Amino acid sequence: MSVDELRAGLARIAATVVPDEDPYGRLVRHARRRRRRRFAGFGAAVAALLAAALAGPAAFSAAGLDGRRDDGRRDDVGHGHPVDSPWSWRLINSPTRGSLAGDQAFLSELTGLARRENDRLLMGAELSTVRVLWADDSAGFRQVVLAYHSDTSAALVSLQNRAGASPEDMLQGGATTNVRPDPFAVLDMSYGQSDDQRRWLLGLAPAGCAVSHARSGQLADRVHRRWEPAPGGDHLLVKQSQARGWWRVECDGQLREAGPVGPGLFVRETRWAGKDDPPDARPNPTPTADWRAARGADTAYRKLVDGSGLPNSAPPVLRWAGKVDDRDAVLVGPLGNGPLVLQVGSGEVGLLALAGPGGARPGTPTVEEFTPEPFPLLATGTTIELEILAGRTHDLAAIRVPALVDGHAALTDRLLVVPRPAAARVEAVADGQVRATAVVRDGAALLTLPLGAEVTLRALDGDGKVMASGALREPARGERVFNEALTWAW
Amino acid sequence: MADADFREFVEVRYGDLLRTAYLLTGSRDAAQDLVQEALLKAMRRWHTVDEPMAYVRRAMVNERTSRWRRIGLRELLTAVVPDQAGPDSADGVVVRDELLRALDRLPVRMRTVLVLRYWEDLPEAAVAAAMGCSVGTVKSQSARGLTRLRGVLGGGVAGRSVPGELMGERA
Repeated sequence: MSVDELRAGLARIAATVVPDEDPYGRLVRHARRRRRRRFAGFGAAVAALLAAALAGPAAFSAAGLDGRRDDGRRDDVGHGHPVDSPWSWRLINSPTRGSLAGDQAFLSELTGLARRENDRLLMGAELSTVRVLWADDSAGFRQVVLAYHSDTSAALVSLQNRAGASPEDMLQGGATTNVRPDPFAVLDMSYGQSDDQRRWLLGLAPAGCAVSHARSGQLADRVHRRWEPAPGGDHLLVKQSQARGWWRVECDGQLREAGPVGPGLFVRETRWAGKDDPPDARPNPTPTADWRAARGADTAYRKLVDGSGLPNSAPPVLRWAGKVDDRDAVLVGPLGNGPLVLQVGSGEVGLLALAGPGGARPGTPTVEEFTPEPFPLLATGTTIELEILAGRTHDLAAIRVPALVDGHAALTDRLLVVPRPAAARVEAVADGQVRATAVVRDGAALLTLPLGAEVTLRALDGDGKVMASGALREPARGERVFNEALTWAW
Repeated sequence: MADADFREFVEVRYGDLLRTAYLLTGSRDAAQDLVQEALLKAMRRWHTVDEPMAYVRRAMVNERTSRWRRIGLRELLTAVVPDQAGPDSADGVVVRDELLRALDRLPVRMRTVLVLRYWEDLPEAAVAAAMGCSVGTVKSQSARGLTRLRGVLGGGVAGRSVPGELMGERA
């Protein structure tokens, strides 16, 4: 094909394009639709919340049609996040890691280009120092993590493109920008379409720290895990399909962070999967259970149990259904001993309560500003194996009731207890004193008991006779999942 | 919402931008989205943009090669003739569709170089500026693009001359 043939061919194609009348009106409508997609409706709120979990609240302040916020700054340029943790600075100042760490020519060109072309990555010019924290080809495609920073603020940027891509190509590929530089940075490293081979997760700790990983755990009196050092030492790159279990980070001989593998935990899917429901999913289990809440709790249970690396051979069943705070509530778990999930309300995405009021870790986004619609709330717990006086044992379900406190899902001092059917009353006893008691109504009792109380729960029959008793075991404070304590000590 | 001159710019240049976007994407819907996203970016910076066409063109190129590639090629592989087509001869339709399909088989940046260089008629330096690459890259991508088109089309367009169309190589 000659140049003129190409010119003629392009002109012939272009001649078929007939613009609509009133292009300016079309543009205005497009802007309105775009804005509605971003800022209105439940789906957008969820997207905003998920984005917040990954990128920090500053990334999605409401923008006017002209793209500027109230303070006059553009909404699509990231200005980083204030950094007040020396551990974040230690991460930012760490040497480059990854299989390309020794490719000085690539790193140097990439650093210079990223500094000059900050606008293309939507990073503000005031973050004028650029460092390459991660450069790697080992997953079959090229991935890079940059740190943009000033003296007081910083943000991470992740880039993906084909293996061997040049620095220029990296700036043209996939990108996630303005990520908050947590000391243990967790980044979605996906490239291209939803190919399992190209969906990875990177956990990047400050240089010199030790990352370890436990893909599974066993729930007995507590969760037991066998930890293995990450191959990279101070980082872990794992396929998202295999991102289950917990990871932990130790620095300077102290445990700094431990929790389920993945980004923020506080947003969990509670969507009824519809035709994609697992084949063993249960239909509406009882006439009293709200089926949307029941199916949503089923989804949340499976994802939380699988994500924690706990055995999930038995599908969950409905342990209890009723009302909490005038919202439909369901408690799901295995038939016998095991993990429990309580869901209050129904919807696509739930907020997982990890700690008591005020216990959310720094940077956890609040929810009120995103949606007037109430999110479903989730709490996790474990069954209590009771000693039955007649010689048999039977488990009892006890779980904290979640509530929205100051914009965060929080575990409250209300303990939902679901005893065996014959029980008429439940008591919490410590040092021979009854600390709380409640009548069993509609299959459950609601005790008022401070978080972390060391008590024995007793189920009593109608004559006041103790039917069974067992110790309540839960962390006294801090975040937990299935009563396994998370660590965040940076 | 914006200045009167921005509105005038949209009304005057929308057709040109849409044609370029269509050549870049091969899809009418994708082209409209591409133009509108680029125009919204220009609108936000209207008071600081010296050369609006260059700015919008560059915004379209960036948008095309980054975000849309990430969400998949589905919009880019349609090669569907637009709903509102202008007049064209039967031979012209064949040539047009063959070339569209051939363009769809080129890498994104190679296609972009060809469109900017041979449809927009931009100098190589301007193409390089729009794409954020070197002039050398533009030269090599352009040469390789033409070679690839020849390979893809085989005896197609080159052997199917359309009456009235200028043939031959231009320096």
